[in-house]
Amino acid sequence: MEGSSSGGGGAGGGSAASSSSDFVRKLYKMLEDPTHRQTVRWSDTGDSFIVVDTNEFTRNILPNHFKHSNFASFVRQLNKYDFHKIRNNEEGGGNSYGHQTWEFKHPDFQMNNIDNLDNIKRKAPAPRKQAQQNEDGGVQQIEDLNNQVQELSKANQEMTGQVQSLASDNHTIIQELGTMQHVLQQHEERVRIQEKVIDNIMVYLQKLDDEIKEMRPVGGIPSQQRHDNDGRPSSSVSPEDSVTGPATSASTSREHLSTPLQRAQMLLNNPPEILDASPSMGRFRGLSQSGPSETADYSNFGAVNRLAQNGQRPAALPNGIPTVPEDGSATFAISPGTTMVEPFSNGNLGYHMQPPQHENGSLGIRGRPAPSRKRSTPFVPPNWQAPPRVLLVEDDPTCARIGSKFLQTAECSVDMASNGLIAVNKLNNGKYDLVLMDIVMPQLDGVSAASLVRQFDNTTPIIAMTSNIRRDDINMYFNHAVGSGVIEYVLGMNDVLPKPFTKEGLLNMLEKYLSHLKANEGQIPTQLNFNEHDNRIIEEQGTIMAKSGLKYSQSPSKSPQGTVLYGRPPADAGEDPIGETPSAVEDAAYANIIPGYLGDSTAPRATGAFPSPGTLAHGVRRGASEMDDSQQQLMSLDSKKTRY
Amino acid sequence: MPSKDTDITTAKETATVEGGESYQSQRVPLDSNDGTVTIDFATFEQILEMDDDEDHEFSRTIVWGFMDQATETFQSMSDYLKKKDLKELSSLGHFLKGSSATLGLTKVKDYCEKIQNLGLSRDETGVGRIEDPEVSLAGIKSALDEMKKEYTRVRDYFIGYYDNPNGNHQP
Repeated sequence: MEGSSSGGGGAGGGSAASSSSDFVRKLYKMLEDPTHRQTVRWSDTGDSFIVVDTNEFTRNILPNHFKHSNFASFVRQLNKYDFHKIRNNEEGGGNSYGHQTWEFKHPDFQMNNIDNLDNIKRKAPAPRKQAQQNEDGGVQQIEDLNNQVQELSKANQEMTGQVQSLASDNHTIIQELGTMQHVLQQHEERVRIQEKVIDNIMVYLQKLDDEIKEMRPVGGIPSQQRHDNDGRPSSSVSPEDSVTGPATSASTSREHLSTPLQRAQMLLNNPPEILDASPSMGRFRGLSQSGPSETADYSNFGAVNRLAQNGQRPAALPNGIPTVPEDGSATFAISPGTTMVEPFSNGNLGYHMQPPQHENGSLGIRGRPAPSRKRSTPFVPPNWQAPPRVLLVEDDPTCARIGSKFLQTAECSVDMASNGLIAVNKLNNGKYDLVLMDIVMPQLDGVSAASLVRQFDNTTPIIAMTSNIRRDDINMYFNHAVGSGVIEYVLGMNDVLPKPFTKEGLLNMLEKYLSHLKANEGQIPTQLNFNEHDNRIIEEQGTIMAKSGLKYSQSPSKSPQGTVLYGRPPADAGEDPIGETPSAVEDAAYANIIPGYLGDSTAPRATGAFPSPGTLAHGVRRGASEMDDSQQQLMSLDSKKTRY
Repeated sequence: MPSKDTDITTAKETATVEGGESYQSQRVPLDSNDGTVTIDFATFEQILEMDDDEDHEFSRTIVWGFMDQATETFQSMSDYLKKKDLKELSSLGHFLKGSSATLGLTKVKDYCEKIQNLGLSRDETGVGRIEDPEVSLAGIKSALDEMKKEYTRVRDYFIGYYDNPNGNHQP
């Protein structure tokens, strides 16, 4: 075996002279050698060759023909020349070669076809190229990857930035939250304080109530004192007097109505009763006793009393003591507490007393100013220095429209809010001279809105507008209404303007709270005369004020100078004026309370205004033309009472 | 002390219907239709006074606005009657009360007040309590029906009035 194989190898090597590869020729020669037939040979078809016994082939034939004995190298060499191993089972003959056989094939390597051997080339270059391509592809891939990395890092940067901004946002939010918590705590603190204040106020009110009750028995005395005071012209009233006044007068007139609150409730419960039992009546009695001359005129006062009772101008009653009926007119002493400086001496201002006949219930009936309110009655807007800025808070479109129109007619600049929330915002952002606030509204009711506003604004007057006067609500409104005196800033509302409000009621409020904005404050009141024939005597303070352009102090306490008492005209000197000071105060307080409860729009004005015009002008004269206004006022009062 | 004043003042209805003789002459006649219209002309006149011109543009707007409002409110009331929502009914009553009172529509206002009270489980006057919601609802329903009738009269009156504002309506 060895000999044959070596011989075969030599023959192969000698014939290798063509262009075809050495390896292929050696392979071909080897297969031509029949001596290796049992080890390696052509396949039956002649287009492939078979290594039958790899061990024998490796050991004996490879060394002879290829100078090595590594079958793996041989196979690799074959692969390089593009020979392919054929699976054993692929050919039918495969079986016959045995499982250990290796069969290799190349399209151009065929038995008896030596020429084709030249076509068999090493495929070495190809792999090398492929490698290069791979390399190129790698570069591209790297570039791609680089790009991707860059993109990723960019994205990463963006993300980082976003995260950072989010973090800072978060930080800000947390800070804001902290601030909010702080604010909230402050608010809570404030609310706590307010609650305390309210408690204190309630305690104070209670005390006041008790005190007033205690003082009741003394009532009779003060009234007499009053008379004395009145007698002296231009005597100033001391604050103490004013304070005691209300209590005393109340006691005099009505024992069971010891406190303003009670009186208010009484009024609400039974307005007519109150009317009849007015404090003024008591006073009159006192007067008649003290001064005989006055007694004669006493009957006339019946009408006056009723007016006073209505809460229109309680002060007028005391003032209006008939002194010397020269031509049948009675002169009223001027009440103190008003800022009005006009001496009584100018007798031009006089109110005519009405005969008692006026008592006819007509007054009580149709409260509405209807009769007097004719087209002819001019609506005289106050003479403002500049248009007052009024905020009208009202959810009802009809009321809002009318209210705004009224205010415009009164030459105010009107802003509107349809609920409490809007109102609070507007008040927070702007300055107003007056706020008219509905009570029942969506979003935020008027009472809550007012108390909110009071947290940052203690000065702007807030007037409640409501038709919702029920017993249940008395306390709430009462507190607010009373607030106009002592505790207004805490409780929110300054006054109450009952709905449906009237021109007069509105004007009264404007007069009361915006008098400082008027252009001509110091004017002398014009002459006011009442026609005797008219049933009703009483004059409307607001109307008069508006027309005369007089300024009056809003509340007794505020205007010290108003405390001056005016005596009657010289002619009347002998007469004793009724105790003006105390009565005025009382009346003021009384009026303050009453308006809210009764829904009397004019009443509030009576509080402050009352003393002024009434006091001044109250010489009584006959045959005046102004009656209409006063009548209207009266009527409106009465009507309102009926309504609520 | 109490005199006839007491009686007179308490009688609301009376007040709106008849006044003292002395006022008669100045009063705007309300009986242009059948005399049943209840309008407090003193109040309404206040609004008329706000008119800048003979066309009554302002008050016309107000009145027509009210009529829209009333119609809508009636519808809402009917709806809430079906839903038996007393609270809403009371609130609607209060809502319409304000504007009807402002226009001087006394009867409409009174019905509104009744509805407002009934919706709060009180009696019509707001004093006593009514525990049975069905009773309250029934009361509201009848008040609503009456109010609609009154409203129809008021509406007809207003339409007639604005058709000829300077006709026999004015004194």
